[in-house]
Amino acid sequence: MSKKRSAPRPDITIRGVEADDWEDIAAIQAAPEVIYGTLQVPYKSRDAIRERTENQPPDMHGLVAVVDEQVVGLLGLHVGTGRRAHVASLGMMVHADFHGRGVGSALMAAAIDLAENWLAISRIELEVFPDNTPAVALYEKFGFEREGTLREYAFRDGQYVDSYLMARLRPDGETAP
Amino acid sequence: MSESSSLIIRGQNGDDWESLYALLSLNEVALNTSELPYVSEDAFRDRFASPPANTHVLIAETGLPSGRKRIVGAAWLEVQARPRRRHVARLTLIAHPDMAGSQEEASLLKATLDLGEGWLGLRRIETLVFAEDTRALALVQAHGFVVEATLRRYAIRAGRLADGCLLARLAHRQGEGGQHEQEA
Repeated sequence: MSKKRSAPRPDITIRGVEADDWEDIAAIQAAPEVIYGTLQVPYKSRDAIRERTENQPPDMHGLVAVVDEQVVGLLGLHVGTGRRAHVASLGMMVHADFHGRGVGSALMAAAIDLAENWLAISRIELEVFPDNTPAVALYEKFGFEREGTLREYAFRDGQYVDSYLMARLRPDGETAP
Repeated sequence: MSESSSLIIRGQNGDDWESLYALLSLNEVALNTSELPYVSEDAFRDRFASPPANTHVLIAETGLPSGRKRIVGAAWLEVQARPRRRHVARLTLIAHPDMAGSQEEASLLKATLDLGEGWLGLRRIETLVFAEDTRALALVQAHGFVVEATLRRYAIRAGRLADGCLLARLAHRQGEGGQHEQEA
């Protein structure tokens, strides 16, 4: 069953994150829906967001989705080291006005291409709240499987809530890096 | 500090990192962690000599007949930095092969849980154990840890990609019988 969109799929461009994206990113992070679905906290300092955008941690690959020159989605792929160099952990967020319009799918497709075809990643892992149904469906669409449920994983809206741990293995079978 | 026969469990001091370096240089010990061999002493010291404020370290040492002490195990509780995860800590525990599976190792684990739950107010202590490390799995499961997930291709172990088990102990669910409950 195809996903019913709330509006036609916009023209989406995926590119690497840039320092100047910080204002659009701050706007995405401020929305209550985005805070609820991630580990963001409200009332975050814009200076802190700017600083974080400008100084990406090493081994972090940041992708953004752009519609009409506005960044409407952000995905981070954090690559491991040493005995976990074949693993990347993934986190993403989409502007609340652009949910259900293909932005998440565009970011995921690009992230998987980057990880598996260029960074030799053979395991991508992520956490997602079980009641975030659209996000769980998106990840399942891209081959992520539930590996377990982490109890009282995070604090959200006054409660300790569980999280799914999901992972996608590169489909060419087990290979050492 | 707690003491059992000649076992002392205490915080980390000064030169302890040198004993930790020796311990983690043992193949059997490094194998079941995510640590690499052939790490330089300088690099090891930089990482281990001064743990960050969110990381609590317990050292287990025994007394030798000469009166000298020998570090036989260590545990790390890394309280998670993200603000919405401050109630969680990641546990890592290592033990000299002589101490593996012993009461001393269990004492170290118990002391770590006491620190985490009794003093730091943690609600969730999680740990990652290789699926093939059945001894460590048995140890933590005997102390209230429940397997929550199997991470496929978690890390390299003995030349192969090996699965890892993520286990967690919830402070507020101890004393309940059998399986954990689902969150409402």
